[in-house]
Amino acid sequence: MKIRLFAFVCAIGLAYFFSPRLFTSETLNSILLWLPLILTLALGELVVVIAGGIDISVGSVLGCSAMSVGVVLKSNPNLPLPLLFLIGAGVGLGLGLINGALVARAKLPPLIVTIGTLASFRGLAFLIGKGESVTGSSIPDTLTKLSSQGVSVGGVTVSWIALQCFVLAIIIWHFLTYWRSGRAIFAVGGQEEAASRRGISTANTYLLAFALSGVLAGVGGVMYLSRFGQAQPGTVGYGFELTVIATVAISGAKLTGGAGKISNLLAAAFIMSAITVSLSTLGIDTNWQLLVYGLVLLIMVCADGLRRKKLEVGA
Amino acid sequence: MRKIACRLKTVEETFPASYAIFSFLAEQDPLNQTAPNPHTPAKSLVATGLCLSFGGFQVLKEVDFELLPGRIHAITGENGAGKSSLGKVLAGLYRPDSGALSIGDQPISPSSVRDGLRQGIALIHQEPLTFPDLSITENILAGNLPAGRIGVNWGRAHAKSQELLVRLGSKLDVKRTAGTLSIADQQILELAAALAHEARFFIFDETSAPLTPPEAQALFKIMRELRDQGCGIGFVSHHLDEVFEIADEITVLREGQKVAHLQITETSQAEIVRHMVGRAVEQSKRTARALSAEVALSVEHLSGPGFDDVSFTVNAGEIFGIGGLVGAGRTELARALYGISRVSSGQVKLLGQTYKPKNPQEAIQSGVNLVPEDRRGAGLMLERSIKENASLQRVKDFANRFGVVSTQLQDEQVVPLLDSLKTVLRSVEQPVGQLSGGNQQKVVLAKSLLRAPRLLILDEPTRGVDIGAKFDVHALIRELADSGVTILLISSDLPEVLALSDRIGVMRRGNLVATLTASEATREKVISLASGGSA
Repeated sequence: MKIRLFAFVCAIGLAYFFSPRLFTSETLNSILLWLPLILTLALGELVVVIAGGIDISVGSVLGCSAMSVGVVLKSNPNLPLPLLFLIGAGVGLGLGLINGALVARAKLPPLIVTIGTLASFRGLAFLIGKGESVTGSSIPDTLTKLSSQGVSVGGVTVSWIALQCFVLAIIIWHFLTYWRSGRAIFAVGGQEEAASRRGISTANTYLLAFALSGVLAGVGGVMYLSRFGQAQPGTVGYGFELTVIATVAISGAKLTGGAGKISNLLAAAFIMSAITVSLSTLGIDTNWQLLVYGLVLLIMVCADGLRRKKLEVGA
Repeated sequence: MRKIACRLKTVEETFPASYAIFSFLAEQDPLNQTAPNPHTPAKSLVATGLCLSFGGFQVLKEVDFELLPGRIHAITGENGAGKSSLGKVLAGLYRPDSGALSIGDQPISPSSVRDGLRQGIALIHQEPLTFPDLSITENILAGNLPAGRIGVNWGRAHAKSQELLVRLGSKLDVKRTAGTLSIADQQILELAAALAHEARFFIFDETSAPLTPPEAQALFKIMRELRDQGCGIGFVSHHLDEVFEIADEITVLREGQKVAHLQITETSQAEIVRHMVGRAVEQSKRTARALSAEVALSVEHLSGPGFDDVSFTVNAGEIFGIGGLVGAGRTELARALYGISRVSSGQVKLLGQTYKPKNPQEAIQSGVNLVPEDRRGAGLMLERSIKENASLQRVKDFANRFGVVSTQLQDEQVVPLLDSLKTVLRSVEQPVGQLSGGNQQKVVLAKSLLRAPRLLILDEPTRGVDIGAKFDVHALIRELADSGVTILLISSDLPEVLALSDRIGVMRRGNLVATLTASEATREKVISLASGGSA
């Protein structure tokens, strides 16, 4: 954690050096706009990573959810908001269960399965929208207001969506700490064989982890509509998996499974949102942003590896 | 009773709020009642006509078995005789092809370990597994955590696991993370997990094999206590000393068939051995040998991870045994000599030349070879064929100039070698994982021998190997030494070290505390040196 803190301070220092105007309440507001999307998806990813897997398909699941909700809104513009989130979560659940079934029942490696579904679900997003985009005209104001309005404290606005993602974080924390199935996720990720010897169904545990990741990515889809007011099948959530996995890596969760903390994830999601906002505030174009995410991920993986080596030598 | 009171007091201090709840619950908990309820007649676990086969190879043939409550029933036989398979069928890990299982009159058909546990049958493995990042409590109660109103009741969970550990005589702190524990402690956790599932039948699968003698004694004490509490204990083992020490009755398997079921009081070790091998076997005896004067290996003040200032010399063709308790630094020394871990100071000379391998490849090129302790983790690719495994170190020599491996050359070299090791196999194309432990070990040996090494380091060469195969391996080690190969023999099996070694170095806490010649070494001397006494 010391290395992380050091790196974080360095990054902030550099950013301040290049652009002092970063440090305003405006920036904090932009960070809070990004945070819900990143945190919500990262929560699901964390659950899968703790279970010993990885979910590359989250960006495409988000895309399918956003497109489905958009299409439903086109014909029924007056649906109540909770129902929209339920639809998004439902789509996510379905897709998550497909991932889960392929990993748990067919016993395929999660990385390969979700790379496959990353592509197929993206295709599905096009099919859902019949190739067309969801335009601003079909998104009700009540939905976009969830992102633009909220609780204001001294110039900083915590949007309703941000509050919602904090609630989700608390729910997932409670699930991981106090539910038996939540603890089973740690057990399976920590030592799969030991878990099955103690009578835990590893298949059901994987299924649950991927289903949760799907549901959260589905909710993320509706948050996306709320935040951006539109969705194009080719770009909605595209490349998001990288941001989300980097977030989980920064949080210090064990990438081989079995350990991870929600409190660290909150901090990591904040850092990741800050990086995203800084990069765009500094006027760095998207291609460079990708490079930065990739580097962050690589550095974290290296740090993880070094730490493990240290532990082994120490033992 | 005082012990329990003490424990409750510490818990009371730690969780004052939940104390009242779990002290009440502790009274209700069936695990607290040590004696079986006299009103329900105890039932036994019965297997009839069990058949099991893997890939057309029949492992169990029409085996009948009865595990009575309040009895320790040993299942013994040579490796490959099917004793572990029988244990695993009883626990639900393997499904039999035919045959029936029942508890009392109630037929059961467990299809998984989970199912087995539900029926109260627990399998305790030779190689226990833990969750390093989770607390001891979770290691015990995973899959079985007590539920409260808002999820897991951690206070109750800690109290329950503490109680189970007290029952097993362990002093582990339930709230610390498991991290790295000794194998004995890990086994305690698996046992506690089984107790938490209220298991009535325990199958111990070679559980004592990786333990040091005092740890094994502690395990036996637990087994006896469980028996006295009315549990049925199945004990899969080929250590007849242990079997005769602890078992009440004994079932002997040979080639998948039950050949004998005897009460321990009416039989003898010699009779059991006769049943196991189907013929009488002679105990191996050490014979004094004339040794060459040439020093093959000289280790001078060697220090590294896990061992400190170790010095000894070994002559060419000598068998140098290294005795000591598990954790004394013997394996670490072997790893350093093989170039796996780095030496921090001191030097090694091999045949007069400085020898400082940076990695195992360099060690192999210098004519050193290691047969590792952990054959599944480090020695074998279980899913690959016997032939591939055996020829792995020499695969370059079997390749033509385009790098294509000639299977014919492989066959010519590997098959006779495996034959000479008396390896029981269907075909060299068979995956190694299908072989029994003893035969797997022979494949590991074959892999090292194909290189014709000058110094062979054997780390626990007969762990998990049955008596017949053990004698084969012993004979082979002697033959190798006679042909001039220098052998460093690390073994926790003291009779083995005594029977084979020309000289014995005893290690304790990373130091070589004494070197004994074959004539002065006795069991008592080595044990006392290894555990801290003086010779």
